[in-house]
Amino acid sequence: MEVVSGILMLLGALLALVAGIGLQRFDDVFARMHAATKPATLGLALVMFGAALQLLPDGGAVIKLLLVVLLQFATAPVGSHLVGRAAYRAGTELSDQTQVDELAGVDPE
Amino acid sequence: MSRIWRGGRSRTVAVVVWSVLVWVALWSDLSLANVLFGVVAGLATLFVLPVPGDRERLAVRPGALLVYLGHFAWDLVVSALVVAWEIVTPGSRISQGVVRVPLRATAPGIVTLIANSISLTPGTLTIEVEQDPPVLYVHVLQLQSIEQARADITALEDRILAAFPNAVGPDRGASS
Amino acid sequence: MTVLYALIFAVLALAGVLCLVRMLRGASFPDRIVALDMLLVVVVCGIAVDAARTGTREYLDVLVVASLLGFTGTSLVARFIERRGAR
Repeated sequence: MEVVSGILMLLGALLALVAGIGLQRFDDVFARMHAATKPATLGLALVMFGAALQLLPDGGAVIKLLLVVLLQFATAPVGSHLVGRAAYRAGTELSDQTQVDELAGVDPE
Repeated sequence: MSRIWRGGRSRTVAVVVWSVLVWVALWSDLSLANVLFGVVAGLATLFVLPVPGDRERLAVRPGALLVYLGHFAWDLVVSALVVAWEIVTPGSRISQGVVRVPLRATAPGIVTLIANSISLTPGTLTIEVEQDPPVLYVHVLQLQSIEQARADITALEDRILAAFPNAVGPDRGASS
Repeated sequence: MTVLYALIFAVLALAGVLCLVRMLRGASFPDRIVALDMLLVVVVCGIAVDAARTGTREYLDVLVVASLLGFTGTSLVARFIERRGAR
């Protein structure tokens, strides 16, 4: 059982590492947000599940860990949306590989 | 005191129940005092920050909701793997874009749910939301074609609308 | 088993360093706050792994608070960027 939780946590950590690499490789803010939201959130979920498995008899600890997962799922997309919107409105350049930008001329209000 | 009930009875009860659960979980102690304090904390929160009263009642279809959640969980795993693969393999094939997606759903809670789901599914991230008429602007990481991206997101919206049937407002073109 | 934990910590540490690099290099303000938010996620993972390893549960409350505060901070910085520009 301990090995199972250890493997889950390792997978989660690897996903977080991949997200970190993505932060380096992508060349504009919005792509980096893709990297920071998705693999990182899933990695966090895996680590929390692994830790919860390990701490299983203690219900309080498990609930706290699951609560963190829930909060992260709820807040990570909103946070990235806010930063993305702010970055766009502030005029951050999109990467050269952007094909199309339908938001370009639109007045947000 | 009526401030507390402003969002509707079920929402008030839901907030108080959630507050009790979180409070008891944080203290890891299921005792009467903790439950009561959870109730007090929930009521105090509602008093200071009342739920807006203009939210519509949403009907839920549990079966379709489960289908949506299952699809969502699967998408989440796929999205992380897709981004991971994109990051790890050398040479970038990504060409990105910002796509405009008009929505049919009008209830603000559902629009929020759609926008959040988009941010957690493979390759898409919501950047801008317009309310009236409801339009989402989505940043796509691997853009094959605009129509494809728009079709994927509309399919997501279909699944959500199947779970919450009356999230679509009155016909546009009517006044107000 | 200890080897496994050491490996997990090493991976998380590397991820943290990458976030830190982006935070220092970052071409603009939004980059930095995205990296900081991710660094918080890595730290939360690290604390959870340590709680699983040693069985101490005292720090788990920190995780809940840290997640919430991380989100609050990110939103506030996003407002700031909107007002003041991305530099």
